[in-house]
Amino acid sequence: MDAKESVEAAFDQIKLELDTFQSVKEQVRIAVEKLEAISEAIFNRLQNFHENTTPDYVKEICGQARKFLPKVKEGIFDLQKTFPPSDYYRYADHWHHVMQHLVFQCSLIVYMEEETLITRDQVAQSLGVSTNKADGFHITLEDYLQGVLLLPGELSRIAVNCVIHEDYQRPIQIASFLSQLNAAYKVLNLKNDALRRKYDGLKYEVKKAEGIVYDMKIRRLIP
Amino acid sequence: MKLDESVTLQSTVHDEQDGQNNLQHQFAEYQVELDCKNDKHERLVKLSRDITIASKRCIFLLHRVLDDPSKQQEVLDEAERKLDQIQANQWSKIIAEINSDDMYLYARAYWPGLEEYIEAITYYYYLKENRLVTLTDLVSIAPFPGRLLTAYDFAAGIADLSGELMRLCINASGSGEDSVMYRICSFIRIIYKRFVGISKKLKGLNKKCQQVEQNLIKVEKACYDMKLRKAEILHFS
Repeated sequence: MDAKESVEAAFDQIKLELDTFQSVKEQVRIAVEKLEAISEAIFNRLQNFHENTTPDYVKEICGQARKFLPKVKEGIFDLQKTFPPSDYYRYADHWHHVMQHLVFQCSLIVYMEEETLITRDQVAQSLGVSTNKADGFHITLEDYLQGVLLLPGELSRIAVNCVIHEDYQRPIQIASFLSQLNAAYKVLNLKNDALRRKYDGLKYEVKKAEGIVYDMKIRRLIP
Repeated sequence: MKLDESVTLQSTVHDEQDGQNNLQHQFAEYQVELDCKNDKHERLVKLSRDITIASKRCIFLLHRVLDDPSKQQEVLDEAERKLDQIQANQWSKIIAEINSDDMYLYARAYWPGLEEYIEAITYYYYLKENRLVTLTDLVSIAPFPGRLLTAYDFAAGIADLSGELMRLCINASGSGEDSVMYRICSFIRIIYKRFVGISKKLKGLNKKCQQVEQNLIKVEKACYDMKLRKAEILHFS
């Protein structure tokens, strides 16, 4: 093979691989868009917590949101089919965003139901994925940790709206929960990355929630 | 305070404590997992830096290939030894750290070293066999980086190669080695022609393509000057 032939051969291979890569990326993108639509529908339901947080209503909203989970599982299964299993991290940038939002939504449902933080295993179960890369499509630790960090903002806003519709107990619980969450995240050794930046926002939400409890106390809305 | 109330208060406090401990325990596990991953990333970054340095030294060595025609084979042999050393000392360790599943997870850690190594090895094979190695060639010649190589990385490496060939060409003009210069010129020209065809396919390839174009223009100018110089010498001798 002379010089010219070798360059042609090399670039033929490069072009082929790039074209394959492009078409897989397109399939991934379409599947992720479908997931995002389902995630938005769940988010829509969960926004109702800002209107009313009585136990029966909360149960109803959580029930409605949970009805979407089988669709999510289906969507993730379809996403899995678009790329070779060994290339998970090659395309993972496409779905970080939607996975984190799904983690957040699951954690919000579980929090409103049980006032605890959903574990990574529980998230995996709800979404029909594994936590282990060896088992195929999985939820990464980073997506779990970043997804959970979307919860404080939502909860502190719910706390504000609780006061508006006169649920004075829930903000107390929210403040306590956020402070526990902050203490838990402090245990991690974070690098200067996206996770760290998201975590930096948490302390402001803790302060905000504590501020709401204080506002209620001094106006004697709570003992 | 009624008895019921005090019991309720106490169990609430206990629940909270349990909740806190449970959460702390969970996150302690996450901390271990994150630390492990970050440590591995750091080890790979260090290995990648070693590969970059060693590859650059190999390239500097190869630039001396035209200095002494009698020593050409020696230079090539030593370059081959250097490349083998990088395989044995660094690439083998990188492969040991990652298995093929995690290849893309740690790509950002070892990618700089990979690009430099590809530059060195393609340069070596151009000088030795007057051809461009293909992706499949690389997998059999250098299986460790070969398997890690994506089409994008390889294309970027070829763009960098055109830069080194340009330097070789300019050096050759200093010693009047015109045949080498014209050969390099044709070679980069074909590379550029094909590169334009892939430059729109991924972000970053466009910039690399512009670099190839600049290198080609410099080489063509150097060949042009050489042609005129030789004509002058003929004319005035």
